[in-house]
Amino acid sequence: MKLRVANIEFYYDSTLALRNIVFETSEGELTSIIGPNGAGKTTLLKVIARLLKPRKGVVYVDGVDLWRLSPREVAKKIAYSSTYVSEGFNTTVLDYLLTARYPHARLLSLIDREEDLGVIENVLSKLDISHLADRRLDQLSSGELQRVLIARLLVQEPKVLLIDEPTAHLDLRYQLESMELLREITLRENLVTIITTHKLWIAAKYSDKTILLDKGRIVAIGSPEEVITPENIVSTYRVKIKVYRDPQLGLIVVPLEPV
Amino acid sequence: MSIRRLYRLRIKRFLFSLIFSLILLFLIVVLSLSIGSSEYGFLDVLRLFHHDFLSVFGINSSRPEGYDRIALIVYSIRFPRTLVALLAGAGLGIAGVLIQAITRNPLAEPFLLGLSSTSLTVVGASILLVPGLLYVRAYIVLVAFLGALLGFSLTMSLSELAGGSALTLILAGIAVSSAFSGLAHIIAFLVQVKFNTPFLILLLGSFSNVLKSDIFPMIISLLIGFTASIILSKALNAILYGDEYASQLGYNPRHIRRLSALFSALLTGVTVAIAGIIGFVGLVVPHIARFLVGSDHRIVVPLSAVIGGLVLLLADIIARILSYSTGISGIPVGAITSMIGAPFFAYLLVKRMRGT
Ligand SMILES: Nc1ncnc2c1ncn2[C@@H]1O[C@H](COP(=O)(O)OP(=O)(O)OP(=O)(O)O)[C@@H](O)[C@H]1O
Ligand SMILES: [Mg+2]
Repeated sequence: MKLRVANIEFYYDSTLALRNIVFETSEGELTSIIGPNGAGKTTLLKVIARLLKPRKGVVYVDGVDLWRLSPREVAKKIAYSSTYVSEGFNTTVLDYLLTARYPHARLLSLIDREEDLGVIENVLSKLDISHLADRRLDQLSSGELQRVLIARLLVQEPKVLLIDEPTAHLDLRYQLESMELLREITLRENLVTIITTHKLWIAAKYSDKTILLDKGRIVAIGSPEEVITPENIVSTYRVKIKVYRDPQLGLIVVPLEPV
Repeated sequence: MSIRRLYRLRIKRFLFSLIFSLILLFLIVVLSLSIGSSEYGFLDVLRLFHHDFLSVFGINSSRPEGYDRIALIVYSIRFPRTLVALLAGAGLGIAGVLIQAITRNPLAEPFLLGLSSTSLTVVGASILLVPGLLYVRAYIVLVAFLGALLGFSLTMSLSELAGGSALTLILAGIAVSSAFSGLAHIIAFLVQVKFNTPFLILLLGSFSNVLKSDIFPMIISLLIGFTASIILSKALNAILYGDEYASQLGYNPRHIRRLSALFSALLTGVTVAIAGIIGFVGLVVPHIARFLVGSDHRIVVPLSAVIGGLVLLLADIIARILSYSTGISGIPVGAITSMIGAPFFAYLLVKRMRGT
């Protein structure tokens, strides 16, 4: 499995949101996209998820143009952490997770297969949230909900995992746990995982590849050490940082002050 | 609790609710068939059914004394009304499920969103324009369907203009349905006077003028609407979590929404064409179904069909009993459904506005 993003250019109506985006990532790799608010991180994920059609450029999944696949085929390969709405239908965690199996069922089949329930069971126990299965979604804490949202992505059993801010709303422990889990799953299931984050330390600690986006363009791309440098960060975020390289702890990022 | 056990539990709940409501439906059908100006009661009808059921298998081939007359009244006079009320209820229940899902609004339903009044207005107007239509049921049903579709589009556009929240949708629906209800009154009056046919009664919904020939369009529309809703049920489940989520799973939310609107307009339109405006069934029924079995449309749709039939038939029975006991003939069924449905709507409104 290989994901190649070739020369993407995207506009919302006539305003440029992404320009000249080129990168490549392969299975087992966790990529994080960083960049200030409005840089285009979410937009880029949506383009890769086939939710937005780029004006120029192609996203190749295993050499195949994403827009040559049917939406259902894409749904089997790519899971995107779409914003979630709850509108008073009292849906439960199990209801939600069952829908994530739909791309794998036959189009007109109405039944859930034994296999579908098995996948859900596994994911829930792996994320340690089996006890939430029968809970209503609108009654979960935001941390519980965040874990359910991650569970949904895994239940979809994609090859490419796209997660917009996976650690939002999580307490420190679950930030670490979720990221460890994502890294582990990425390796074990050989996924292409791309996340966005505002936490430089998360990008530094967990990503194999980091992409720094600003005003719709890639400013820097490479290992976290190459990308998260005081120069790059000050020119994009307008924040001074200090970076230490520790032989045991890896990259340590300390934000200092806005400039 | 393990996922499999949880899952089996919901299947059991569904089957139990379905069987229970089917039994209840059967009893209410018998009850509905035993009410009328003739003196045959519940047990007579039950005995007739028992006998005729056995004779299908070649047992007891001839009916006992006097039962041929009961059979005549039950089958050819009372049965059409009962069946049409049942089918209309099923259709309105499903229409409510569809509309609530695609608007993601548990307060929505065909009548409140203006589908019914718009539909009746268009039916009346087209009869005034082409009087021959009055006698061609298929055209009336088609026109009613288009009218319902028009009502839905108007409400949706108005709601979008006003910001598109759950509440603006309901307010937009009230604006559209009030406007068209006024228009429908005038038109209904004109139709009734000009063609000397009972039309005003349709403003409040009634099954008292149902004909045998109404059964066929009712069955066809319900079959189409039901099958379509079952096919759409998974997409509707997905759309509950947002358009982006549904797209992400490979569905096209705009198509799903259009198709669902089409079928709920069909189900609403056919009832308006035959029995007039009957409100709140589409609101109450999906709530009862979801209360019993949860939110999965694969089971909410069939259960809503059964419960819809049950609820509307019950309302019709109440209307008829009221008519006989007060001596005021033709109390409209729509008055009964509004009396029961509107307080329920108020309850939902308060719960929603206070809650989340
Ligand atoms: N639906 C939209 N229509 C028009 N412009 C949009 C839309 N969504 C985003 N934009 C604009 O496109 C640019 C990129 O937005 P995007 O959401 O991708 O940024 P982001 O990097 O994810 O920001 P954040 O860190 O705040 O989440 C911004 O200028 C934003 O205002
Ligand atoms: Mg974003």
